[in-house]
Amino acid sequence: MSRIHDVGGMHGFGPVTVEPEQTPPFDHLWEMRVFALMKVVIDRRVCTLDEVRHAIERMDPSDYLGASYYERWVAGLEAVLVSKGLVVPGDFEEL
Amino acid sequence: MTFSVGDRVLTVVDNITGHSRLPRYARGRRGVIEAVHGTYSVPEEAGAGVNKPRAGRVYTVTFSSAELWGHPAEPGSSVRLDIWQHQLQADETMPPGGHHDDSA
Amino acid sequence: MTTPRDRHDHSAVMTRRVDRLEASLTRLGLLQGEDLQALTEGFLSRARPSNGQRIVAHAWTDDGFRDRLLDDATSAIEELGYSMREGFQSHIQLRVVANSASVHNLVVCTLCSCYPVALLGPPPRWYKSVAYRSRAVSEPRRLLDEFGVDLDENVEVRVWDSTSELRYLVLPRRPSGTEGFSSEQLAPLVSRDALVGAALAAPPALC
Repeated sequence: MSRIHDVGGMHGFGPVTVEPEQTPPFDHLWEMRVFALMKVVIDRRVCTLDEVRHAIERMDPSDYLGASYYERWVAGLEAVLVSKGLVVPGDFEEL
Repeated sequence: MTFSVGDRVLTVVDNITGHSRLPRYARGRRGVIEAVHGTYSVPEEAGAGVNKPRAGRVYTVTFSSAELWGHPAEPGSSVRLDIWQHQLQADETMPPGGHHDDSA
Repeated sequence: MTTPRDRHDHSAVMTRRVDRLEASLTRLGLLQGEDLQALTEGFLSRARPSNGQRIVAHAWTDDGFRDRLLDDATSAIEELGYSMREGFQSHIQLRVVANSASVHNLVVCTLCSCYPVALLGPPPRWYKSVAYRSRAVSEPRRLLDEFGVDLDENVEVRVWDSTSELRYLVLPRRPSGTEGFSSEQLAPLVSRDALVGAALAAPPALC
């Protein structure tokens, strides 16, 4: 049917906390770097955004819900590179 | 068949494991075509990394909150989603409280 | 409960993961030593909420532009020097939906976080939260109430779930008390949250 990302209409996620508009978009440098990596990867045709979305959707449900937004991007990019055989064994050994 | 604005449609129910942009809440639901757009790569193929994914026409479809959520649903609200051609079929059923309009 | 030490460790782990992604892409010849932080900063200098403010203010003061914006926003924004082509995908289309006395629009992406990034930069955190993504489609009126958006019962609420290559932008209602304002004076009244329907444009401050 559907995966964990498909949350429209679900209950239980609590209130929506609107942050002040001046809040910076990134908390850590690694988040800024992965933002650029995503654009590079798509611009240079390594994969499409749909492939990365699908990789993120296939995360273990509890990992998906426990991960921060950009952490999902990292997981998605890692999974796409692995699935395309672009990564050599040991590249992401801590996974 | 290409749909037109105002056409009543029914969305598909499926159990695919691939990438889809039709949320669960909008499957098997009756709506109305609100806009007709261009053609775009079908997500099921694009998500799977198919080299030249087929393209399908995209429509914006309006669903009433009652249709999507049943009871209780907030009155006076609707949800509009963009849906690909292959996930829509014409809705031939009787509209609520009305009759088929033969004056098309 | 995470401690400062846990958060530091987590950040260090994530940094190493991004290091490895960068190293893999470099080995594949897809990166040639680009400064990724600088790339992002450059993007943020061009794609930001003030672009949306300017578009809305211009639409409020120019009916012809407003009509063109509602008819074909992707083309209309190019009149002001903006483009939807510089985001993550070059074929993204923009659609602008107008609030009125009888309609209020709210934008969401329940499946991920689709948003007019090419124009406005990254979406706010609240927009990307599972709480917003889950509730916007099923209880928009209650959410809008929580956001402080006061709507009469007879106002129809339209929620746009961004499920395709179209990105949605809300044209808020022009606040009263702004007769004769230039578009430069009007732009600051449009918050980033108003551009997706989570706020109304603010009336001019009394001074």
